[in-house]
Amino acid sequence: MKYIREQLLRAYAAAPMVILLFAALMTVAAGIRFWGYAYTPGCPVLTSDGWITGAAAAVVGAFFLGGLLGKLPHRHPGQNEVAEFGAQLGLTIFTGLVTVVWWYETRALANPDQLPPITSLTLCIKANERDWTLLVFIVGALIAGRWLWHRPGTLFR
Amino acid sequence: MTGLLAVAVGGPVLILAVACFDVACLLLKKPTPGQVIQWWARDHPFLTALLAGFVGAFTAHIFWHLQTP
Repeated sequence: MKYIREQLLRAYAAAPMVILLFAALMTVAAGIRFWGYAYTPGCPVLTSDGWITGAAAAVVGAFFLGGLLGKLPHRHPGQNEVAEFGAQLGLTIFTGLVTVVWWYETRALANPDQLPPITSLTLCIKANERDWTLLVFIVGALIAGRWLWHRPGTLFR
Repeated sequence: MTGLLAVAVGGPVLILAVACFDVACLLLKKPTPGQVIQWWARDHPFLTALLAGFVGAFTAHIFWHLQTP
């Protein structure tokens, strides 16, 4: 227990711990909020232009903040070929999944009466719970910035 | 489970899985996803730019989709 406490009290662990707690709360909250909520084409999709502009600024800001968080000092466990292969494999699978989703989206947009487009679902969710939705995108941008700007010089090798 | 629920819960679940993996790597003293992605990005800068652009465009497409009343 002492070891776990010591590891989690490091500055570098703060960001993933906060993100973990946030994601756990959001998962439960989104599950409760949208349980049994059926999508209909009449679901409201409008949010104000001012909110959209603010949302764009917040997500871009979170991306850059993530870059700063990636600079926090962190123990360097050394180059690991298995981990690098895992990253390569994970990114390939992730890209494949995004491609499948694009494929579904294209089909759905061509046949909106048969398949609801993902964008329609997202706009419906956003119109119902726009602040929660924005928070999820902000945290996603934060993680992306933190990973992309993880500078070697900050790792104290 | 409805498609709406899957999309609503899917985002937080993905972030939760990533955060759990990150914390587990910290505790086990294994390379964290951020470190490994950084190694990969340093070795493949062109692919990184392509992938980041692809994912960024997809995210922007979903979130800032044209609103049709």
